[in-house]
Amino acid sequence: MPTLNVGYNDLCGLVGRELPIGLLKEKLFLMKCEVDSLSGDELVLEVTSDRPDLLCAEGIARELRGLLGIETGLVNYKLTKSDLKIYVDRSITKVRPYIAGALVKKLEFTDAFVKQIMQLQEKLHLTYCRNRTKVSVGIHDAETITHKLTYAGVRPEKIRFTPLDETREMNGNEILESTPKGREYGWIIKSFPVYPLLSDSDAKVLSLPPIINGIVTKVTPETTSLILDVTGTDMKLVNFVNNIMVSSLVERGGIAEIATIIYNRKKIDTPDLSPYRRNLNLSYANEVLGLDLKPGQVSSLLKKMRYGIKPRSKNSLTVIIPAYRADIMHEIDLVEDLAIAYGYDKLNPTMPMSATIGSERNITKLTRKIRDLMVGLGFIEVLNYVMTSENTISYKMDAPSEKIVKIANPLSIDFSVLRNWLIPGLLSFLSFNKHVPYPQNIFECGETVEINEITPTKTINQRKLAALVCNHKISYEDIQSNLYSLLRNAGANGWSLHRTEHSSFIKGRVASIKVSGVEAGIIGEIHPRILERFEIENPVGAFEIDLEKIFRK
Amino acid sequence: MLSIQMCHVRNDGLTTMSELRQNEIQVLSTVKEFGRKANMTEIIDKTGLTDTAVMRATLALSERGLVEIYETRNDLIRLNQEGISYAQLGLPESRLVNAVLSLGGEASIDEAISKSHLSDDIIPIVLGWINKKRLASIHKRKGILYLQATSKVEADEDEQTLRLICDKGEVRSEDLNPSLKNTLSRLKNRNLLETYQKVDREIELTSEGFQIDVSDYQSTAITALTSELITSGEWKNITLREYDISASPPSIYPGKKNAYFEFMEEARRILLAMGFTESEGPLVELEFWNFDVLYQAQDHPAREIHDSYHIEHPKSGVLDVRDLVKRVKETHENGWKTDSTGWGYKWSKKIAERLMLRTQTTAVSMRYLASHKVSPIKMFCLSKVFRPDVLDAKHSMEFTQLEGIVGGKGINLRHLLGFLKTFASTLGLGEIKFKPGYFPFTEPSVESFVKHPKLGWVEFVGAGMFRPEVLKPLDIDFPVIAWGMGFDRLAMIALGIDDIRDIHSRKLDWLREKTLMW
Repeated sequence: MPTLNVGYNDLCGLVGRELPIGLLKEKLFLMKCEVDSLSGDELVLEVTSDRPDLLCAEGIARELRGLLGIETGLVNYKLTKSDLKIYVDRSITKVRPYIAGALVKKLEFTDAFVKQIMQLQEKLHLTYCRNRTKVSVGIHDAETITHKLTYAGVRPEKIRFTPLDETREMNGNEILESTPKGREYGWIIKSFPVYPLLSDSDAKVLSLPPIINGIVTKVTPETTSLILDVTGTDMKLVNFVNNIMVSSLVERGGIAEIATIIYNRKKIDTPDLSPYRRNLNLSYANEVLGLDLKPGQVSSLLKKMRYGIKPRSKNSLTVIIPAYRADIMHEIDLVEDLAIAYGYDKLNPTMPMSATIGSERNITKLTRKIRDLMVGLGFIEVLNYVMTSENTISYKMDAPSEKIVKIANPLSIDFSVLRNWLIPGLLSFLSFNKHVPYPQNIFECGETVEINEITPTKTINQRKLAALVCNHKISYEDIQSNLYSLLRNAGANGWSLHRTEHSSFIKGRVASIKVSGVEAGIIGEIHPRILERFEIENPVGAFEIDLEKIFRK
Repeated sequence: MLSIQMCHVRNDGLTTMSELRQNEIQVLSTVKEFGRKANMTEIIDKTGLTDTAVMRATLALSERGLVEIYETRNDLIRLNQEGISYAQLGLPESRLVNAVLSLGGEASIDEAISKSHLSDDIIPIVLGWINKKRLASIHKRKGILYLQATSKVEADEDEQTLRLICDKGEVRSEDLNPSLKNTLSRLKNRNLLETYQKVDREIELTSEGFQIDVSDYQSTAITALTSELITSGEWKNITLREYDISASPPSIYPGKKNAYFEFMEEARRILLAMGFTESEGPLVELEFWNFDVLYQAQDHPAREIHDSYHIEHPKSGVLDVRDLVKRVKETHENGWKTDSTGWGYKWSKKIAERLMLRTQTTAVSMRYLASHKVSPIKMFCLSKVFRPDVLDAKHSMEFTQLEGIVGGKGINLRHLLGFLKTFASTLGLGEIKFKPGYFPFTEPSVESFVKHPKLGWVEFVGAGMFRPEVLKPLDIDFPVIAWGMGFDRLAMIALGIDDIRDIHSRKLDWLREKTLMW
């Protein structure tokens, strides 16, 4: 979940009321937000990732005002015309085709405000904008440029401006290669013949989206009005991000003006802060929540969540959704907000009355019986990871590796494949316990995975049992007697042992276990060559069986 | 090497042959066979007695002044879990600096941490080492720490020593080159080493002990009642020796189930009693079942390479549910008939066919719902999921999730809360509270917390009602509530485990001692 820092006093100021910290914590906990910590004036908050509009103090305050009943219903954001025009050149189509913008005036640049707007931009980039790939935002001092802008695709070598935080002019290639932001985000546009560039009618560069702004439009303490540029590959998201940014600025007291985007054939005014609509069926909402809310209650609850409401019929409302809400895809999303306004703490938990008979998987029952018997035989149960290394299960064991499932992106070589048998994990266990009194009799029941081309997932899980006896002196019989006793007591039928060869075991002391001709396991004494690799100083007898094959009905 | 004489001969004339027990005689005669001296291992091998029996007999003999015991204590060093992981992955300061280099030589602390996969809580210490070792320069801009590094950090003395110890498993401290002393004390201070002692014991007969002729030993006092003594009636003529009935017996270790596995069984019992049916699916899963059916868009961050494990070979599986695939595709693209807007992007079958290690047991719920469409439904799955993480005390790359779904006409949000509350109280977890949450596949979504006596409110479960975009393509026409909990955290609380690695403990003595009570 994204986290953000908010000044406690700033937040109270925006809400318009002094909120005791206990109450604030409680209210935030019951919305999609949570207080992580408070030190001095600084609150660290977590916000769920579906609510980009809550990634700043302004958005959270707007929501809190509703829930506290200080101000409910839809906020009416006024927009006025401006002289800001953005001409979109065709050359941009393939790189980053969409742009939205706004001019926001009469802003007062307090510390708290600057922090919030920078943080909102950064958090949006990280989450909703998918690390600038889908959408990115530039913020500019509106007084430094003309208001006739061009958004075009320009060849990197033709681009020339001084980027923010740099001291000299650079071309597009230089910016991608030698500025920190260029190195971080350059890959997004690098493969295109042209890079996106936003410049004014005097050829002053505002930004090279999604990398960096130009130095000319740098925001300073003297700035009073801002131009926003929001560019991206998805028009809907570009507009949502612009709406969220602009409405937050207006919450701070700014006056927002429209940027007219001029495409080849059409003109679009952005931001478009007019709300959108969805109908809500009341019996549907009540069924989902298990409540019996009347139309009046529903509409006052939804107004607390900052929606506008128009009654439609006895059983239906039209919900008017603010333009900054990017998460409403379905009626069900309104139902959740209804539950939040009602209060998760007030939903009376209840048990459903549906009579069903519980049942386990057969393999669970079988595993339980097997574990009981193994414990009766004096073995201690060990639990190893399913993830392991090829070294452990194949190289060290002289065992084949073709059927091993390998991870493409492991973080550690020790956990880079899935185990296809259990004995190697148990041997490694023994190697960690050389100083512990013997005998060491251990077992594990667990999942193994191997490649199997005929299944849709090209792999199969198998539930296996492996057991090891280790002592100063052991014989083949010591492990064999345990296997026989286990299989007899568990009621396995039709199994037999057949002489075989296996590089992990001593020749002549290894057998394969078969059930009606099908291989279902192996038993034997581990070869000293293998023991040496695991640095085990005592002999080991081992067996491993595929439980489903052995006990097939 | 430290060699001490442990027990002094007690010349109080207590030694009488009649008081020697069977095991003591055996030990005495064995040492004699070896000349005059033997070590414990030799005696154990020769007599076939257990090590505790030999030890007890030897102590008794020494108290009688018949033998002397010499102990040699060896100080040994081995790596602890953290030490082992650094030996394998490199020291965290090197990894952080190398991460900075791979980010272009300069990076904010957050970027570097995320690139290096180090855990946040060790960062202050790591920065201290970077400074100390002058591996990179650290500076602050606008309240954010930046690291700047120019050259790749090779394994230094610390790391080489770690690797050396790791390769050998354990080393005797005096065997190590004295020049490594400083390095060792540094590693010790960083808490990467464990030191422990191993004791070798050698037994030597005293002259008194040497003079005893073992074959002469006969006694009217008998230690063990035998079948022969009983059937022959000879028992009437003998005295049975008295035992020290409160002396501690040799330890025996029962065969034992794993406490964690037993806690899983407990959870299973509760769910069965509540009427749930168990289900399972493949560990290597198609992205389709892990994400797409769950309405997680194909560009969702959870699907990126650093948030799920992908398979090297085979890379892709086969989608054998054609109608469902078509409905899911349309739901993602335009909402299909679900009355949703959909995500509005071009859905790719190729992405859905990629194989991965499942990151959530919700994939199992999806498979279950695809083949069980008759209400009422109650299913659970208690099984493994995988997410890229470096193993340490708090993080693991694989862990167990407990997933449950309940579907049927009239099922609602309050029922979900009811279930969670009942389950928590049956597990003995006590007070519970709920808050709104977010998961791409549920709406409304719930997070719930339980009150832990020491830790305070602990997140317990993520839950919600499956979205129409999930249920409709599966052809399920009734509401389904679902929850998935990190079972390992729950087990750690119940079993009193502080380190997540102890769930898969490799310490046999720990497993032997761990009680099965919680």
